[in-house]
Amino acid sequence: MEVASENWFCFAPRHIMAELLHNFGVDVRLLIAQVVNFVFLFFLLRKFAYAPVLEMLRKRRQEIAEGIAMRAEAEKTLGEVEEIKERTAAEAQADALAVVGRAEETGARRKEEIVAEATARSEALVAEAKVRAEKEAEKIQGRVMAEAEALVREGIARVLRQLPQEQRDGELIRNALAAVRAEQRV
Amino acid sequence: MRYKAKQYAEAFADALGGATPESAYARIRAFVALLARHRALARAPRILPPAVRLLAARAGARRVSLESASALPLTLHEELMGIFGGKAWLTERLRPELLAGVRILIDDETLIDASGKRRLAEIFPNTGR
Repeated sequence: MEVASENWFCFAPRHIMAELLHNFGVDVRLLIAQVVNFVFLFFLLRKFAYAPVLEMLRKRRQEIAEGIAMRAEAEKTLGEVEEIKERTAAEAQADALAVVGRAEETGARRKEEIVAEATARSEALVAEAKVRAEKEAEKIQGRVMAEAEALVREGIARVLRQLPQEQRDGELIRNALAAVRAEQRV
Repeated sequence: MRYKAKQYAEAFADALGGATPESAYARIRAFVALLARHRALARAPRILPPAVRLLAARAGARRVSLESASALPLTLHEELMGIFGGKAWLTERLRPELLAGVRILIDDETLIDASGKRRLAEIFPNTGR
């Protein structure tokens, strides 16, 4: 019985082994050729197929990771932007409220000024109207008085013209002569 | 006009100074003719009053101007002449607006207003007319 020293079936008799392999349809030479072919194909694929695919997968994985990181960064930036936006909106609202408050305050103050001014103006107008009315009344009264005095003067003048000369001029002339004498003494 | 009004007035007073009533008329006519020649008749109102003042002053008389509403009685003239010792130059002028009484102006300085108009003005001070 021949024992093969290289493999597991080396203890089996060579013919039995050969018969067994034959029964299973195994051709040793074909098997060796297939192993060689397999190893060759394995290295070939590893060199030219697996490596590029793995590289592509690695790049793809890196890109995805970068994308995720960028997304996280973008989300962070977006959050900051939202925060800035909210803060800006809050500040703008506060400013707007302050402006509105100031405007209301200014409006109220202006309203008071306008009311005071209108009141003063109306009082001045009333006072002016009163003064005008008083002046007008004085004017009318003066005119009436003047007309009355003119009438009285005219009446006196007519009476004087109708009086005899001695009765009209006598006392006045005597007064004038007395005044001339007094002046002459001085 | 060749001369000033004051010079004409002095010349006129000099001309009438020693004149008698008869010669005064002729001198007045000559003076008026002189003014006409000198084309100074328009200035007569500025010449005659100073001349009268000079004449009165040289005669030592007071110039008394009387204004009244109607003709004054002669007794008033006599009384005035008596007051001034016969040395008064009386002139009289009618002013109906005086109504009554008399205004006496002495030497263009002293005014004695005893007229009815003045009395009325005192009674009605606001309506002078």
